[in-house]
Amino acid sequence: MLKSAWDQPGATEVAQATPAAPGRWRAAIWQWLAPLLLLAALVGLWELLVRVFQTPRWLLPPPSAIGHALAANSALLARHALVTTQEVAAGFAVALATGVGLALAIAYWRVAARAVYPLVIASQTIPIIAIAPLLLVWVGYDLRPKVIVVALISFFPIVVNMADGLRAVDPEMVNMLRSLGASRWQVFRKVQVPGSLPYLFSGIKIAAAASVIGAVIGEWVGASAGLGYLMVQAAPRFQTSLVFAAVLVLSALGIALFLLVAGAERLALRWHHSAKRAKALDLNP
Amino acid sequence: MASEPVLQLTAVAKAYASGQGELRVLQDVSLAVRRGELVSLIGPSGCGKSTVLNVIAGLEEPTSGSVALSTDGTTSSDGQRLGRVAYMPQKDLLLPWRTVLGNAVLGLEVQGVGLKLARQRAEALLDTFGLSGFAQEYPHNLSGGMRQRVAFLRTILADKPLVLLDEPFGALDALTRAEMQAWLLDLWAGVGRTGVLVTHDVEEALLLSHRVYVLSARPARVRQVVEVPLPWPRSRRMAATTEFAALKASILDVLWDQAGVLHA
Ligand SMILES: Nc1ncnc2c1ncn2[C@@H]1O[C@H](COP(=O)(O)OP(=O)(O)OP(=O)(O)O)[C@@H](O)[C@H]1O
Ligand SMILES: [Mg+2]
Repeated sequence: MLKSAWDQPGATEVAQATPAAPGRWRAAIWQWLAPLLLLAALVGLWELLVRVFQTPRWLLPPPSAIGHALAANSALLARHALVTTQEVAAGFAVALATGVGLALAIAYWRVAARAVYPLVIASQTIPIIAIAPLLLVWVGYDLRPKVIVVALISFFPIVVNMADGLRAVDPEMVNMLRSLGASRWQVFRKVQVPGSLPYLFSGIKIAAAASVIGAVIGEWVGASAGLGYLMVQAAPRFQTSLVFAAVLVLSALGIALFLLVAGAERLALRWHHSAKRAKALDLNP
Repeated sequence: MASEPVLQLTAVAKAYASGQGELRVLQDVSLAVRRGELVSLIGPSGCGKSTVLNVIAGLEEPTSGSVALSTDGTTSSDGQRLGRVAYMPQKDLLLPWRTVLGNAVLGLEVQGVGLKLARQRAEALLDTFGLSGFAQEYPHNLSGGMRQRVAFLRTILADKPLVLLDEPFGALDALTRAEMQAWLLDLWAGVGRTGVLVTHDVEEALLLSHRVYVLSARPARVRQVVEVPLPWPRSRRMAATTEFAALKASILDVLWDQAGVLHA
C-alpha cells in the first residue's frame, strides 16, 4: 500500500468505513423483515391449526381471537399496563442507582470487593418467587414489594457489568492522565467513566428485559392492579384470549424498554458503534 | 546555551517487587539535561528505558538516588513531579471515545484551560502535525503514524518546558520515520523545548540529540555518555560523514558488547 506524504494526509490513511450505501440499506431492511416474516408465518400456522382441529377457545384461542380481546379490552389493558410500567420504571431506577453505587464500591474499595461482591452473587441464588410473598408481609400490599422485586432481579447484571468495566480500564491510560497532572477525580471522569459505559449499557439491556418479568412475579403473588394481576384474574375464568392479550402487552412493554435503552446507548456511545463497525469491516472486507 | 540543568538524575536505582524476590530494573542512572538540550537514551530492549521516563515523570519514585526537576525555578523532587513534564508514552494511549481534537486538548483540559481556547490552540497546530481535516475523526479510523502524531500533539500542547518522548517513531516504516525526524528537528528549533528521547536507533539518537546516554542491559547503568559534536541545525546529510560513522560505530560497539553479540 502506498503511504501518503506526511504533511498531506490523504484519504488512503483513513479506513474506508462506509460500504456501498444500497447494500447497507438492503441489509438493514432484511434485519427487520426476516424476523417479522417468520413471526407472521408462525401466527398464520397457529390460526390454521386451531381452526382445523377446532381447539376450544378457553384452551388455545386463535390469534384472531386474541386480536379481538386486545381491541375490546384496550382501556382495561392500558389501565393495568400503566401500573406495571410504573413498577418497572421505579424498580429499574432503584436497580440502576444501587447497581452503579455497588459497582463503584467494588471497583475502588478493596474491602467492598471482598465483602460485597460474594454477597451480590449469592443474592442471585435466592429464588425471587419464594421471597416475593414474604415481601408482601413485610412491606405491604401496594407498589413497593413489586418495585423491590424488579430491583432485585435487575440490579445484578448492572453491578457485575459495571464493576467489570471499571476494572477493565487500561492502567497505562490512567498513568498517561496522571502524568498530565490529572487529579483522581479527573482521571475518573475522563477515563474510567467513559471507558466503562459500554459495559454499563450491556448490563442495563439485560436488566431491562428482566425487569418486566420481575414486575409480573411481584403482581402474581399479590396485587390489586397490573398486567400480572389481570392474568391471574382472567385465567381461572377461562378468559384465555385476555391472558394472551396481556402477555402481548407485556412483551411490547419489554421491547419498548429495551429499544429505549438501545437508543440511549447509540447516542451515548457513538464512538463505540463506529469502532465496532470499522472492526467488522476489517474482518470481512 | 545556558548551562542551568533542568533535570538531574543522581544514581537512580529502581526495583520492583516480583514473585519471591525483587526485579532490579535500574541500578545506577545519572544524567543531566540543560535548558534547550535534547538528550537521547539508548539501550538494549527491556533494559529499563521506559522506566527511566516513568521515574522522571513522577509516575514512579526511585528506590534510591534522587531526581531533581527545576523547570520553573523551583526544584521539585519526590511526589511533586506529576503534571510538570510532558510525557509521550511508548503506546499512543489515545482515548477511543474522543476525537483527534478531543485527545489533543486533554492536557490543557486537565490544567483547567477553557475548552474553547484549548480547541483553538489545538486547531492552530493540526496542520503542522499533518492532521488537518481529521479533527473530528475517532482514533480507530486513523493509521498508526497518524495516531502517533495525535499523541505527539497532545504532548506538545500540554505545554511543559521538559518533554519526554518514548520511541516516538518506533512503529513507523523507514521512510516515514526519516520524514518525522526531519520534522521534529524543525519543530524543536521552533518551540525551544528541552527533551529526553528514548530510542533504539543509533542514527536517530545521534541525529536528533546533543548527548547520547548508552545504557547497559537490565539492570540499567549508564555505560557511555557521548557528546554529539555535529553542528546545529542538523540535517539528514550529516549521517554520511565519517565523523558520524565513527560515533555510530563506537556506540554500536558498546550496545553489541552488552548484548553479547561480539562474543558469539
Ligand atoms: N510496574 C512494573 N512492575 C514490575 N515490573 C516492571 C514494571 N515496569 C517495568 N517493569 C519491568 O522492568 C523491565 C524494564 O522495562 P522497561 O519497559 O522500562 O524497558 P524498556 O527498555 O523500555 O523496554 P522496551 O525496549 O521494550 O521498550 C521489564 O522487565 C519490565 O517487565
Ligand atoms: Mg520501553
